[in-house]
Amino acid sequence: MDCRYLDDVYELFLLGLLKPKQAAEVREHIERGCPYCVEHLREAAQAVYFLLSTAKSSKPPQDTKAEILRSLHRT
Amino acid sequence: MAQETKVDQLLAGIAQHDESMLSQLYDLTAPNLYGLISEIVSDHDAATSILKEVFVRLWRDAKRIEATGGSVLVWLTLEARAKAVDWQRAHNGMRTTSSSRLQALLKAGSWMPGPAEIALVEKRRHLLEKLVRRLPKPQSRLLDLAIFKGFTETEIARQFEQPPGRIEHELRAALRFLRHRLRAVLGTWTADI
Repeated sequence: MDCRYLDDVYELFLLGLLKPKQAAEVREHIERGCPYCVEHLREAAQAVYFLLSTAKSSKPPQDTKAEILRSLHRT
Repeated sequence: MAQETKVDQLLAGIAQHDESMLSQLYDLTAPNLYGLISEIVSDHDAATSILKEVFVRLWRDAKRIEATGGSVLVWLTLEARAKAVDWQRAHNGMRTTSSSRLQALLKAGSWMPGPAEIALVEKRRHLLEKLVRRLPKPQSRLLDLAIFKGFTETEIARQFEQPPGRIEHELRAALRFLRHRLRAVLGTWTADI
């Protein structure tokens, strides 16, 4: 199947920004392991990861890690 | 590159419920994730709660994430972004679906880039940052709204009082520009970047 018509939407799909009908179409391709779509979504994920990781780092409040570790025992 | 490899090795320990591994992963990744969440969410307490939720979810889902072979850095980043976007959109009275859609997608995780692919992104980060700066300002602004605010093309069009087709064209052109440059930077060809 020629999936090239989806070339411009993989990043938007990953970000949850596609219209429902087109998102369902991409999801269906991914779920049935379409090699073209899986490969292009992987490439889109690299791009999206890079863009998101350009956000400026910021130190979380001091007790956050301790609170996370405490809460593990409640999950 | 060593750090990216280490981060993904820690995932194996977390999958075995080793708290010291989660603690180490937190130290390595929390500042970047908190920075990302704070870029999206306007409330500091909410940003902290989201960061906690992300790590608790990682603890719960580590085995499944490990089985996909995907990079835990990608998982953490996408999860943090989806939860933060949902919080901010709900706060603004807008429809939220990012987190649930992402969870469904992560179950079919064979598409996730692996540790080696993300290590390469990190190795070439300085080149990638250079090319992002080459994006025309209007396209860069559209990308920010889509990525950091979770605005759809229709919502951006409404905000800018532009036809949705024009916004769609511009946003997709920006993503295409990045995709093509990413291929060049992550491949063997790096000239003229």
